Formats: sequence, structure tokens, C-alpha cells
Amino acid sequence: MTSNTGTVIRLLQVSDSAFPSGAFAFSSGLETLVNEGRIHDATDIRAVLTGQVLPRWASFDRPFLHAAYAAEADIARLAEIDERCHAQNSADRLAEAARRIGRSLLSVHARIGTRGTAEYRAATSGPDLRDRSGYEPVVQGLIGFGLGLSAAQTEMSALHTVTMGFVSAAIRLGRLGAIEAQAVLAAAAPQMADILDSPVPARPGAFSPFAEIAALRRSTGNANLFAT
Amino acid sequence: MNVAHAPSRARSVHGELTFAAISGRTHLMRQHTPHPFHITRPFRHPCDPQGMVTLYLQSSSGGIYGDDDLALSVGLKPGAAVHLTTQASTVVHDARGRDGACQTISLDVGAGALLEYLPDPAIMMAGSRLKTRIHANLADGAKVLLADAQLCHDPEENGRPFNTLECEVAITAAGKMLLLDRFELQGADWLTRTGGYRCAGMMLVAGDTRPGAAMLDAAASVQGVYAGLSNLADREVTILRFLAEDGVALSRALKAIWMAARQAMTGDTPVARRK
Repeated sequence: MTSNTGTVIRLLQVSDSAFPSGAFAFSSGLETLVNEGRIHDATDIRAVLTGQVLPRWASFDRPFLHAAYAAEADIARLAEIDERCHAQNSADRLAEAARRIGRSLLSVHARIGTRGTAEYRAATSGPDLRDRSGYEPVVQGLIGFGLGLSAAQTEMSALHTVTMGFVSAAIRLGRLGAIEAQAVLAAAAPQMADILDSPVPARPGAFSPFAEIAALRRSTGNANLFAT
Repeated sequence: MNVAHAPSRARSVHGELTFAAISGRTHLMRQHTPHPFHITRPFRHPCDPQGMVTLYLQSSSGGIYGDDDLALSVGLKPGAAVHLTTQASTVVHDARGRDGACQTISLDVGAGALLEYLPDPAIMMAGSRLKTRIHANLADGAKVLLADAQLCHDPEENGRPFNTLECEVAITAAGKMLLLDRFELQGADWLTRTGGYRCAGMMLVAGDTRPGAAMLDAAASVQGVYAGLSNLADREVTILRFLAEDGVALSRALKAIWMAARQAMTGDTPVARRK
């Protein structure tokens, strides 16, 4: 087995939906859109994925992930990137989701010994930092570096994770069958490839107001499957 | 003519307004409003708080063109209260192959001061390019209510939207970045990203966490508006983000949300401004 084969095996492990990332608890606003009768079928699901979720990841999450990977597990640099990510996460529900997933990832990877994660978890566990750090893309960048993945592999893993999480939510909400889900994923693949082949945006930013507002409108009642 | 190489006729203009409270009444102490900036005479409404003055910003050029570079600095001394608005929407014209226009608004809000910066929406015409930046810096006890909204206008309905739009809203306090909300967008992506809505915007309150629920209720009362509230309590920032079907719904939403926010912040319902 070559070292590259080994890293690919780790890439597949941490990108698998069975990996306990906590992402299964979030729908990126999809549950609200379904409950409000704005989303009905596979065509609508695909439109939200390609028109909202993927563009937001490309323009917002990806630059933070890229910067965190480049920080090479330097705690101070990661904390500074996390601070900027906090300032730019203007949708409270999406920010909370990103922190919960990031903290879950940090916890799991610290326990399985991924390089740098235990140190960053300890550095950001204080009560003054828990609600303003540990954002998903920052932690993903750290994990990718810690596992010895390339920056491109780290980005691919993160994009795969967000896409699978969204499609999985659509299935659980009963708006997508298992075969339809595969068709949606296949249709989204060229756009995902374009995103990964494009230069990383110099400055993070996001304009996906339709899904973002839906996430903000999530009912606080007890009938929700997802936290966003 | 090859419009890609159109010569630059950039207008770089910097306006300045300074307000101060004297004996409980806010006055416009300094104004520098070179063309195309123009202001009306300041006036007051009896229902407004702490000696607030209202000022309308106008453009004497009929909108934003090509590669205009417009900057406006607004300063409020401690305790001042200002309602700064516009008479009508700002038309952002076709860039006609130029780099695009920049509009930079700097709001320096002194201790205990209250600023309402509520411009009407920018109308993004076919082919237009705009970079807009609003930066509010708050001293201790300062409050700001600000709006930033856009309307994608394609008057000939020929599928030719604006070219590019970059928007940035930054809130700082004591030199520390509290919020940086920004995006870059191609006009062709507008309707996809908004779910088909022609108008989008936000109203933000910093320094006062009370108005959020009332703002959301006000937005919900306007037909054709889809809105959500983000409460960033650790920074005392509340953002109401909204989409609107058309300019009428957008204008109604902006007015209703502002009035609800003011009522929640001061206890008094303001008098609607004439537009």
C-alpha cells in the first residue's frame, strides 16, 4: 500500500455518511421549505442544492477551509480564522449548525488521534470561545491537514459531506426516493467539479438568501426533524 | 465601439456630514456635499427621540453611472440622533463596459448616539455593476439601524439582468469587527439565489437587541415578503433578512420594519417619512 493509497482510505473514512460528524441533524433550511410547501419533489430539491447549498459552500465555507488547511495546525492562526468566520456568519441558525458540526468533528477526531485536533479542541473549549469558534470549515481544514490529505482532497471531502448531508435530509423528509437521490447527486456532480476546479475565492461571502431565510424561519415547535 | 475598452470617466467624490447634539437637539454642524451629493434642509418630527434630526440625501445626477466612485462619511457626536434617508430609490445605470461603480458609506456613531441610516433600495438596471460598502463604527452605548436593499430590474423583460453586485456591511465597535456580511453576485444568478424574488435586502440593528421580534412581525404583515430573523446576541446585533416579490412589497416592508424597530427601541411610533 502506498502512502497515497493510505490517505485515500482515510479520506473515504472521514467522508462517509457513517462517520459521526453530527451533520445528520441539519437540513440547511430544507425542512422549513418543505413544511412551508415551497419544495415538493426531486426537481425542487435539485434546485435548492445547486442554486443555494453548493454556491454557499463554494463562496463561503471553501475559503475558510482553505485558509485553515494552510494554517498547518497552528493554533493561533486557526483561532484567527475561526474569529473571522464567526464575524461573517450572519445567520444565527447556520452559524450554530456550523459550530455544532465542527465541535463534533473535533471531538471525534481528537479521540481517534487525528493530528492537531486535540490541541485545537483544548484551545477553544473555554466558555468565552465555545459559542464563537470551532466552525465546520475551519475544523475540516485542520482535519485534512492532520490526516495528511492534500488541500484538494480536503475540499472534496467537505463538499461531498455537505452534499450528502443535504440529500440525506431530503430523503428523510420524504421528498426524495433513494434512486431519485442518486439522480440528483449525478446531476450535481458537474457543478461540484466546477467548484473544486475553480480558484478559491479571495474573500468569503455568501448570497443564498432563499435557503438562509428558510433556516432562520425554522419553527421552534417540537415537530422538527432537524435543527436547521 | 468595443465597450470592453471604454475610457474611464470615473468620478471620485467624497461627501461628509457631521451632526452634534446641543442642548438636547441634534444639528447638522458640518456639510460637504459635492456633486452629485445633495441634501435637503434638516427637519424634525415631534414623535422622534432625543432631539432627532431628519435629513434626506439626494443625487443631483439621477443615479449611479459607469465607474462612479462615491464615498460619504457621516459622523454623529455623542448623544446625537439622526434619521438619514433618501427621497427615492437609487438607479444604478448600465455600466456600458466600464469597471462599475463604487459606493462607500462610513458611519461613525458616537457614544450614546442613535443613527437610522435608511436609504431606499438600489435599482440594479440591466448591465449595471456596483460595489457597495457600508461600515458603521459604534462607540459605547451607540445604536444604529440600517437598511441595505436591492431590486433587480430588467425593464424590457429580455432576460438581461445587472452585471455584477458586491455588497458589504461591516459593524465595528472599539476597533473590533462585530459583523462582516458580504457577497459577490453575477446578475444572471439573482433569481436562482433568491428563489425567484426580484428584491432582496436586510435591516440591521446594532446596540439594541429588543426590536427583533417586532421587526419580524412587521415583515410578516407585508404580502409578498419572505423574511427571517438572525439574533447575534453576543454582539448585540440583530439582522432581518428579507426577499420581496416587487418594489411595492419591498418599500412597504422597509417602512413597516423601520417603524416597528423604532417603536421597540423608543416606545414611540414614528411618523412615516414622505417619499
